[in-house]
Amino acid sequence: MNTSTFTHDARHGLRLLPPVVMGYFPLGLAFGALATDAGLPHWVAPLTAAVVYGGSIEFLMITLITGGATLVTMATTAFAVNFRHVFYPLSYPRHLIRNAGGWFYGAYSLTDEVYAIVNTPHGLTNQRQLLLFQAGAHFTWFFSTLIGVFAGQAIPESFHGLDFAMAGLFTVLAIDFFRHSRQYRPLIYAFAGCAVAWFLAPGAFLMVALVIFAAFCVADAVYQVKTGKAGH
Amino acid sequence: MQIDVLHTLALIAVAAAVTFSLRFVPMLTVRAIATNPYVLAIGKMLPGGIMVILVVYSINHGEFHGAGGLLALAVALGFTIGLYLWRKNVLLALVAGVLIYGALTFG
Repeated sequence: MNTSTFTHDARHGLRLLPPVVMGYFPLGLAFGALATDAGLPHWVAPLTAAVVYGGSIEFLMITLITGGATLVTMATTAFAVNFRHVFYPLSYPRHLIRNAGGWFYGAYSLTDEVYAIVNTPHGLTNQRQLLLFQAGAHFTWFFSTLIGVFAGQAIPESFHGLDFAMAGLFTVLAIDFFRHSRQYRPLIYAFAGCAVAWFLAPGAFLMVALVIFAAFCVADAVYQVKTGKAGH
Repeated sequence: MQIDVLHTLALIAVAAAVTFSLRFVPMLTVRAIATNPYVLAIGKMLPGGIMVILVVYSINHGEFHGAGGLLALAVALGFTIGLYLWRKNVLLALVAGVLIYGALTFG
Protein backbone atom coordinates (compact mmCIF):
# COMPACT_ATOMS: atom_id res chain seq x y z
CA MET A 1 0.00 0.00 0.00
CA ASN A 2 2.98 2.31 0.44
CA THR A 3 3.39 2.37 -3.32
CA SER A 4 -0.07 3.81 -3.97
CA THR A 5 -0.05 7.05 -5.93
CA PHE A 6 -1.50 10.38 -4.91
CA THR A 7 -4.30 10.18 -7.47
CA HIS A 8 -5.21 6.68 -6.32
CA ASP A 9 -5.33 7.81 -2.69
CA ALA A 10 -7.27 10.95 -3.59
CA ARG A 11 -9.85 8.87 -5.43
CA HIS A 12 -10.22 6.48 -2.49
CA GLY A 13 -10.44 9.27 0.07
CA LEU A 14 -12.73 11.64 -1.80
CA ARG A 15 -15.19 8.92 -2.85
CA LEU A 16 -16.49 9.06 0.76
CA LEU A 17 -17.30 12.76 0.41
CA PRO A 18 -20.83 12.93 -1.15
CA PRO A 19 -22.85 12.30 2.06
CA VAL A 20 -20.68 14.86 3.87
CA VAL A 21 -21.26 17.42 1.12
CA MET A 22 -25.01 16.87 1.33
CA GLY A 23 -24.91 17.62 5.04
CA TYR A 24 -22.36 20.44 4.95
CA PHE A 25 -23.54 22.42 1.97
CA PRO A 26 -26.94 23.57 3.30
CA LEU A 27 -25.58 24.03 6.83
CA GLY A 28 -22.52 25.99 5.67
CA LEU A 29 -24.72 28.12 3.47
CA ALA A 30 -26.98 28.84 6.46
CA PHE A 31 -24.01 29.59 8.70
CA GLY A 32 -22.50 32.08 6.25
CA ALA A 33 -25.84 33.74 5.53
CA LEU A 34 -26.63 33.99 9.24
CA ALA A 35 -23.28 35.69 9.93
CA THR A 36 -23.93 38.24 7.19
CA ASP A 37 -27.52 38.72 8.37
CA ALA A 38 -26.20 39.41 11.89
CA GLY A 39 -24.05 42.19 10.45
CA LEU A 40 -20.63 40.56 10.93
CA PRO A 41 -17.76 41.53 8.59
CA HIS A 42 -17.32 39.10 5.71
CA TRP A 43 -14.11 37.54 7.00
CA VAL A 44 -15.52 36.32 10.34
CA ALA A 45 -17.57 33.30 9.20
CA PRO A 46 -15.04 31.87 6.68
CA LEU A 47 -12.20 32.28 9.22
CA THR A 48 -14.31 30.57 11.89
CA ALA A 49 -15.25 27.80 9.44
CA ALA A 50 -11.59 27.20 8.64
CA VAL A 51 -9.99 27.35 12.10
CA VAL A 52 -12.73 26.35 14.58
CA TYR A 53 -14.56 23.89 12.29
CA GLY A 54 -17.00 22.57 14.85
CA GLY A 55 -20.65 22.85 13.74
CA SER A 56 -23.01 24.03 16.49
CA ILE A 57 -20.34 26.07 18.26
CA GLU A 58 -19.80 28.13 15.11
CA PHE A 59 -23.48 29.08 14.89
CA LEU A 60 -23.34 30.06 18.53
CA MET A 61 -20.23 32.13 17.93
CA ILE A 62 -22.22 34.49 15.72
CA THR A 63 -24.21 35.52 18.79
CA LEU A 64 -21.17 35.47 21.07
CA ILE A 65 -19.14 37.67 18.71
CA THR A 66 -21.93 40.18 18.03
CA GLY A 67 -22.60 40.33 21.77
CA GLY A 68 -18.92 40.81 22.58
CA ALA A 69 -18.74 37.80 24.91
CA THR A 70 -15.76 37.38 27.24
CA LEU A 71 -13.01 34.87 26.46
CA VAL A 72 -14.00 32.85 29.55
CA THR A 73 -17.59 32.54 28.30
CA MET A 74 -16.25 31.49 24.90
CA ALA A 75 -13.97 28.83 26.42
CA THR A 76 -16.68 27.47 28.75
CA THR A 77 -19.20 27.31 25.93
CA ALA A 78 -16.82 25.69 23.45
CA PHE A 79 -15.81 23.12 26.08
CA ALA A 80 -19.39 22.19 26.97
CA VAL A 81 -20.77 22.17 23.44
CA ASN A 82 -17.83 20.21 22.01
CA PHE A 83 -17.33 17.82 24.94
CA ARG A 84 -18.87 15.02 22.85
CA HIS A 85 -15.68 14.98 20.76
CA VAL A 86 -13.64 13.31 23.53
CA PHE A 87 -15.27 10.00 22.55
CA TYR A 88 -14.55 10.20 18.85
CA PRO A 89 -10.88 9.13 18.85
CA LEU A 90 -11.96 5.81 20.41
CA SER A 91 -13.48 4.68 17.13
CA TYR A 92 -11.23 6.60 14.75
CA PRO A 93 -8.93 4.59 12.43
CA ARG A 94 -5.81 5.49 14.42
CA HIS A 95 -3.94 2.51 12.97
CA LEU A 96 -3.72 4.41 9.66
CA ILE A 97 -1.94 7.40 11.22
CA ARG A 98 1.82 7.39 10.59
CA ASN A 99 3.30 10.72 11.69
CA ALA A 100 2.89 13.84 13.84
CA GLY A 101 1.20 15.77 11.05
CA GLY A 102 -1.30 12.94 10.71
CA TRP A 103 -2.14 13.02 14.42
CA PHE A 104 -2.50 16.78 14.30
CA TYR A 105 -4.68 17.16 11.23
CA GLY A 106 -6.56 13.90 11.87
CA ALA A 107 -7.67 15.27 15.25
CA TYR A 108 -8.12 18.84 14.03
CA SER A 109 -10.66 17.88 11.39
CA LEU A 110 -12.44 15.10 13.31
CA THR A 111 -15.98 16.52 13.15
CA ASP A 112 -19.33 14.80 13.75
CA GLU A 113 -19.76 14.02 10.05
CA VAL A 114 -16.21 12.72 9.57
CA TYR A 115 -16.66 10.58 12.69
CA ALA A 116 -19.91 9.18 11.29
CA ILE A 117 -18.29 8.24 7.98
CA VAL A 118 -15.17 6.59 9.45
CA ASN A 119 -17.52 4.44 11.53
CA THR A 120 -18.98 2.91 8.38
CA PRO A 121 -17.06 0.33 6.31
CA HIS A 122 -14.97 3.08 4.74
CA GLY A 123 -12.32 0.97 3.02
CA LEU A 124 -9.56 3.52 3.67
CA THR A 125 -6.15 1.85 3.71
CA ASN A 126 -3.60 4.56 4.49
CA GLN A 127 -3.10 7.91 6.18
CA ARG A 128 -3.12 9.89 2.95
CA GLN A 129 -6.54 8.57 1.91
CA LEU A 130 -7.96 9.29 5.37
CA LEU A 131 -6.54 12.81 5.56
CA LEU A 132 -7.54 13.68 1.99
CA PHE A 133 -11.09 12.68 2.88
CA GLN A 134 -10.94 14.87 6.00
CA ALA A 135 -9.42 17.76 4.06
CA GLY A 136 -12.16 17.42 1.44
CA ALA A 137 -14.80 17.68 4.16
CA HIS A 138 -12.99 20.64 5.74
CA PHE A 139 -12.82 22.45 2.38
CA THR A 140 -16.51 21.71 1.71
CA TRP A 141 -17.47 23.36 5.00
CA PHE A 142 -15.27 26.39 4.35
CA PHE A 143 -16.45 26.83 0.77
CA SER A 144 -20.16 26.43 1.63
CA THR A 145 -19.76 29.05 4.35
CA LEU A 146 -18.07 31.41 1.91
CA ILE A 147 -20.94 31.05 -0.57
CA GLY A 148 -23.39 31.59 2.30
CA VAL A 149 -21.69 34.85 3.31
CA PHE A 150 -22.32 36.31 -0.13
CA ALA A 151 -25.73 34.69 -0.59
CA GLY A 152 -26.68 36.32 2.72
CA GLN A 153 -26.40 39.75 1.09
CA ALA A 154 -29.24 38.87 -1.27
CA ILE A 155 -31.66 38.45 1.64
CA PRO A 156 -33.98 41.49 1.74
CA GLU A 157 -33.83 43.70 4.84
CA SER A 158 -37.50 43.15 5.55
CA PHE A 159 -37.16 39.36 5.80
CA HIS A 160 -36.31 38.39 9.40
CA GLY A 161 -36.72 34.62 9.03
CA LEU A 162 -33.07 33.89 9.82
CA ASP A 163 -33.53 35.32 13.32
CA PHE A 164 -35.44 32.13 13.97
CA ALA A 165 -32.78 29.74 12.62
CA MET A 166 -30.71 29.34 15.76
CA ALA A 167 -33.55 28.80 18.22
CA GLY A 168 -35.07 26.37 15.73
CA LEU A 169 -31.83 24.45 15.16
CA PHE A 170 -31.11 23.93 18.86
CA THR A 171 -34.73 22.98 19.57
CA VAL A 172 -34.63 20.26 16.93
CA LEU A 173 -31.25 19.01 18.18
CA ALA A 174 -32.58 18.88 21.77
CA ILE A 175 -35.67 16.92 20.73
CA ASP A 176 -33.48 14.57 18.71
CA PHE A 177 -31.24 13.91 21.72
CA PHE A 178 -33.99 13.21 24.24
CA ARG A 179 -35.94 11.12 21.76
CA HIS A 180 -32.96 8.76 21.62
CA SER A 181 -31.57 8.94 25.17
CA ARG A 182 -34.89 8.81 27.03
CA GLN A 183 -32.98 10.10 30.06
CA TYR A 184 -34.66 13.23 31.33
CA ARG A 185 -32.65 14.23 34.43
CA PRO A 186 -30.36 16.47 32.32
CA LEU A 187 -33.47 18.39 31.28
CA ILE A 188 -34.16 19.29 34.93
CA TYR A 189 -30.50 20.24 35.48
CA ALA A 190 -30.55 22.43 32.37
CA PHE A 191 -33.69 24.28 33.45
CA ALA A 192 -32.22 24.74 36.94
CA GLY A 193 -29.09 26.28 35.40
CA CYS A 194 -31.19 28.51 33.12
CA ALA A 195 -33.40 29.70 35.99
CA VAL A 196 -30.49 30.63 38.25
CA ALA A 197 -28.58 32.34 35.42
CA TRP A 198 -31.67 34.17 34.16
CA PHE A 199 -32.42 35.78 37.53
CA LEU A 200 -29.01 36.10 39.16
CA ALA A 201 -26.59 36.60 36.26
CA PRO A 202 -28.42 37.77 33.13
CA GLY A 203 -25.23 39.42 31.88
CA ALA A 204 -23.36 36.10 31.90
CA PHE A 205 -26.34 33.87 31.23
CA LEU A 206 -24.69 31.30 29.01
CA MET A 207 -21.61 30.69 31.13
CA VAL A 208 -23.47 30.58 34.47
CA ALA A 209 -26.19 28.28 33.09
CA LEU A 210 -23.62 25.91 31.56
CA VAL A 211 -21.46 25.77 34.70
CA ILE A 212 -24.44 25.06 36.99
CA PHE A 213 -25.78 22.46 34.56
CA ALA A 214 -22.35 20.80 34.27
CA ALA A 215 -21.98 20.75 38.07
CA PHE A 216 -25.29 18.87 38.37
CA CYS A 217 -24.18 16.42 35.67
CA VAL A 218 -20.84 15.79 37.40
CA ALA A 219 -22.60 15.19 40.74
CA ASP A 220 -25.05 12.85 38.98
CA ALA A 221 -22.19 10.98 37.29
CA VAL A 222 -20.29 10.58 40.56
CA TYR A 223 -23.47 9.23 42.18
CA GLN A 224 -24.04 6.82 39.27
CA VAL A 225 -20.49 5.49 39.36
CA LYS A 226 -20.32 5.20 43.17
CA THR A 227 -23.64 3.35 43.36
CA GLY A 228 -22.79 1.20 40.34
CA LYS A 229 -25.70 2.57 38.32
CA ALA A 230 -23.59 3.74 35.39
CA GLY A 231 -24.73 1.61 32.48
CA HIS A 232 -23.66 1.47 28.88
CA MET B 1 -21.77 46.44 12.48
CA GLN B 2 -18.67 47.62 14.35
CA ILE B 3 -16.95 44.77 16.12
CA ASP B 4 -13.71 44.75 18.07
CA VAL B 5 -11.43 42.99 15.57
CA LEU B 6 -8.77 41.95 18.07
CA HIS B 7 -11.33 40.64 20.54
CA THR B 8 -13.12 38.75 17.74
CA LEU B 9 -9.84 37.15 16.65
CA ALA B 10 -9.18 36.20 20.29
CA LEU B 11 -12.66 34.63 20.58
CA ILE B 12 -12.07 32.59 17.42
CA ALA B 13 -8.62 31.52 18.68
CA VAL B 14 -10.03 30.43 22.06
CA ALA B 15 -12.86 28.46 20.45
CA ALA B 16 -10.40 26.81 18.06
CA ALA B 17 -7.95 25.92 20.85
CA VAL B 18 -10.64 24.38 23.08
CA THR B 19 -12.23 22.46 20.19
CA PHE B 20 -8.87 21.15 18.98
CA SER B 21 -7.82 20.09 22.51
CA LEU B 22 -11.04 18.13 22.99
CA ARG B 23 -10.25 16.20 19.80
CA PHE B 24 -6.49 15.90 20.17
CA VAL B 25 -5.86 15.01 23.84
CA PRO B 26 -8.13 11.90 23.82
CA MET B 27 -6.46 10.86 20.56
CA LEU B 28 -3.21 10.37 22.49
CA THR B 29 -4.63 8.80 25.67
CA VAL B 30 -7.71 7.29 24.17
CA ARG B 31 -8.41 4.50 26.70
CA ALA B 32 -7.79 6.66 29.75
CA ILE B 33 -10.28 9.34 28.74
CA ALA B 34 -12.92 7.88 26.46
CA THR B 35 -13.55 4.76 28.57
CA ASN B 36 -13.44 6.46 31.97
CA PRO B 37 -16.81 5.75 33.68
CA TYR B 38 -17.16 9.34 34.93
CA VAL B 39 -16.47 10.76 31.48
CA LEU B 40 -18.92 8.28 29.95
CA ALA B 41 -21.70 9.13 32.41
CA ILE B 42 -21.17 12.88 31.98
CA GLY B 43 -20.95 12.55 28.21
CA LYS B 44 -24.36 10.87 28.11
CA MET B 45 -26.01 13.75 29.97
CA LEU B 46 -24.33 16.84 28.54
CA PRO B 47 -25.53 17.20 24.91
CA GLY B 48 -29.30 17.25 25.52
CA GLY B 49 -29.16 19.66 28.43
CA ILE B 50 -26.75 21.95 26.60
CA MET B 51 -29.10 22.14 23.62
CA VAL B 52 -31.92 23.16 26.00
CA ILE B 53 -29.70 25.91 27.47
CA LEU B 54 -28.82 27.06 23.95
CA VAL B 55 -32.51 27.28 23.03
CA VAL B 56 -33.16 29.51 26.05
CA TYR B 57 -30.01 31.52 25.29
CA SER B 58 -30.85 32.09 21.63
CA ILE B 59 -34.40 33.13 22.50
CA ASN B 60 -33.09 35.42 25.25
CA HIS B 61 -30.41 37.00 23.03
CA GLY B 62 -32.25 36.81 19.73
CA GLU B 63 -33.99 39.72 18.07
CA PHE B 64 -37.51 38.67 18.95
CA HIS B 65 -38.50 42.14 20.00
CA GLY B 66 -41.99 42.87 21.20
CA ALA B 67 -45.05 40.72 21.65
CA GLY B 68 -45.43 40.26 17.86
CA GLY B 69 -41.94 38.78 17.54
CA LEU B 70 -42.45 36.41 20.48
CA LEU B 71 -45.82 35.27 19.14
CA ALA B 72 -44.25 34.64 15.71
CA LEU B 73 -41.45 32.75 17.47
CA ALA B 74 -43.96 30.55 19.32
CA VAL B 75 -45.88 29.79 16.12
CA ALA B 76 -42.70 29.03 14.13
CA LEU B 77 -41.32 26.85 16.95
CA GLY B 78 -44.60 24.94 17.11
CA PHE B 79 -44.52 24.27 13.36
CA THR B 80 -40.84 23.30 13.45
CA ILE B 81 -41.31 20.87 16.35
CA GLY B 82 -44.44 19.34 14.80
CA LEU B 83 -42.89 18.99 11.37
CA TYR B 84 -39.71 17.50 12.83
CA LEU B 85 -41.60 14.91 14.90
CA TRP B 86 -43.68 14.05 11.85
CA ARG B 87 -41.00 13.86 9.11
CA LYS B 88 -37.82 13.46 11.26
CA ASN B 89 -36.02 15.80 8.85
CA VAL B 90 -33.93 18.56 10.50
CA LEU B 91 -33.44 20.64 7.37
CA LEU B 92 -37.09 20.52 6.29
CA ALA B 93 -38.28 21.50 9.78
CA LEU B 94 -35.81 24.38 9.98
CA VAL B 95 -36.53 25.81 6.54
CA ALA B 96 -40.26 25.72 7.31
CA GLY B 97 -39.67 27.49 10.64
CA VAL B 98 -37.51 30.19 9.01
CA LEU B 99 -40.09 30.82 6.27
CA ILE B 100 -43.02 30.92 8.73
CA TYR B 101 -41.18 33.26 11.09
CA GLY B 102 -40.08 35.40 8.14
CA ALA B 103 -43.63 35.61 6.79
CA LEU B 104 -45.11 36.52 10.18
CA THR B 105 -42.56 39.27 10.87
CA PHE B 106 -42.18 40.57 7.30
CA GLY B 107 -41.67 44.28 6.97
